[in-house]
Amino acid sequence: MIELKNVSKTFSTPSGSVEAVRGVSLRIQAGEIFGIIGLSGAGKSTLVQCMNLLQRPDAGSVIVGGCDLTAVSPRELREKRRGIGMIFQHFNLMASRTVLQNVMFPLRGSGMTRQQQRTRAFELLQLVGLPDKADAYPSQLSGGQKQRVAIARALAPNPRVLLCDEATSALDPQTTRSILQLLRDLGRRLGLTIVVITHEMAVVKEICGRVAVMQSGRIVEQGDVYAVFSHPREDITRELVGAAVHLRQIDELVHAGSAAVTPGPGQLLLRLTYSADNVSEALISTASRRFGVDLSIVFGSIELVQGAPVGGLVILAGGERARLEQAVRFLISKNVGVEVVLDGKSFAKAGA
Amino acid sequence: MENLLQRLAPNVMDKLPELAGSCGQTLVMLLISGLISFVFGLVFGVLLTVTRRGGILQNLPVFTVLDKAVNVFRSVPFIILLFALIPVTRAVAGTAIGTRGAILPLIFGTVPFFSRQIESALSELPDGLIRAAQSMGVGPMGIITRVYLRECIPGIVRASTITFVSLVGLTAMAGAVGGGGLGDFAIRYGYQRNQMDVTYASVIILLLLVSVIQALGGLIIKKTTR
Ligand SMILES: Nc1ncnc2c1ncn2[C@@H]1O[C@H](COP(=O)(O)OP(=O)(O)OP(=O)(O)O)[C@@H](O)[C@H]1O
Ligand SMILES: [Mg+2]
Repeated sequence: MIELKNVSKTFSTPSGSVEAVRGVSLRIQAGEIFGIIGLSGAGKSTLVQCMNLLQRPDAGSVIVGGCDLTAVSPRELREKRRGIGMIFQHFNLMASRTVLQNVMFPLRGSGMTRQQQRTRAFELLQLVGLPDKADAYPSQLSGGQKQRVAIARALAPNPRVLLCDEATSALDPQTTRSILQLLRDLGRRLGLTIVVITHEMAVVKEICGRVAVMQSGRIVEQGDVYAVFSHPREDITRELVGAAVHLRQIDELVHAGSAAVTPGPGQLLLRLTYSADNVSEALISTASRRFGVDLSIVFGSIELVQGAPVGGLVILAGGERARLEQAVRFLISKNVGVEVVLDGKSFAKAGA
Repeated sequence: MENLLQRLAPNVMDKLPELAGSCGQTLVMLLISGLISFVFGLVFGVLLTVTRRGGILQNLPVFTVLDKAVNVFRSVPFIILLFALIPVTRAVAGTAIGTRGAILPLIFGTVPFFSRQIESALSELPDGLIRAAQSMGVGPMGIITRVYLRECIPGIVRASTITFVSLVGLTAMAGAVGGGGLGDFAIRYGYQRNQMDVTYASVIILLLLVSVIQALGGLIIKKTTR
């Protein structure tokens, strides 16, 4: 549905030029929900704005629904844009217009009569669950309601594609969920292709099937959400996977010499990373029982990505050295990543 | 009542018909030059906004010329503009004196100021609204009329009120070159013949006029701000 070929965009500013997007190629299938995740300044907004040519790429082509947008006339481009809805972080509703008038806004000049436009706008407000707010002004709505209106407005011309640039970043977690659910439902019901830009893994996890990770204007990794987040290949991806971020906090605690993470004599401080289908608790207790070692969980962070656990634990392991080694080997054989953060033996020696 | 006024303002009561005529002239100057200035100022303000770097119809030559012209005319004191424009006024209006002769300088004195005010009112519009409209396939004309002008109505009204009030001041000054109106009235009797009550009466009428304009502007702003 959307194909980017070698798209680049450089901004020149008084303080030098910024390569916001560097040679990005992407294929987004019809009907899928595709996530683009990255830290602030990675170039996500620029990239998504290239998809409807709000930003004209310096190089490369943007093909939406089989049409190369970079090659059409301005008039045709405006026509094509009606087939590509867009919603924004700050909603961008027109303050002087009522909710209904906002939703009718893109219908002007579509050949519909005023009455047909009203009817269509009402239908959409029903679809997003706000039929009773038709005559309210945007300033009278909550953030979540504003985003619903923005969604209704974006969908009014019946587009095939919906671009969402940080659509939930200004909302609280609960409202975020409800908006994401709405997007997923609408996507399914209307057969939309949805592109979701975000810096939050939670958002991608919630609705995306595939994801691309963006860093410094490049796509550094892409694939099924589960595959990308369970086996991150790039540091940036690991950083974005919330669990990994939490597990790294241990390093800070260790560095600070916190008692909670200081192994006693003979103990090991281990970091376990789960990926595929090993179930956390059973493994720990099995290892503990089978090898007669004490395994106590210091810290854990497991995220469910599409129903499967991703994340890890930090544990203190105590017992005979030989048995400990067997236990570690057992865990490794079960595809658990094991990393010795601190060794009580060497630690005790060093301390002595 | 009649007696009291007669005592307080004998010179004014002497020339009530002339005062009424002066008021009428002031109103005519205000309306005609105000209306024309409004249209030109709006056009130039919009042009300044859309042709600037990053604007929806970026055109730096047009922007630069307009920007410089506005600056030049704004930096000329009105009283000098009045005299400097005499040849132009004569060519356009056929006369450089009287109410008719005052209108052209009034427009030249008002449009640059108003254009800047409009430009600044339109610059208040969040960029996101323009991007949203563009994403919906709205063209430049649509964005000007349906987004800029529509969404910035309170700012435009505020600018118009401020400009109109300063235009009242300019019409009074136009009296200095025989432009007629209250300014002329006040200068001829109040200043030149030292009839202070005429001066005060003129001041009070101008004050009323300004108050009415401001109240009206405030009302519209309140009604259109959401
Ligand atoms: N119009 C512009 N002019 C100049 N530089 C720009 C412009 N738009 C974006 N940039 C620069 O391009 C880079 C990428 O910006 P972009 O907005 O695409 O990032 P982002 O990933 O969306 O970040 P965020 O999460 O903060 O929205 C940044 O360094 C930014 O400063
Ligand atoms: Mg962004």
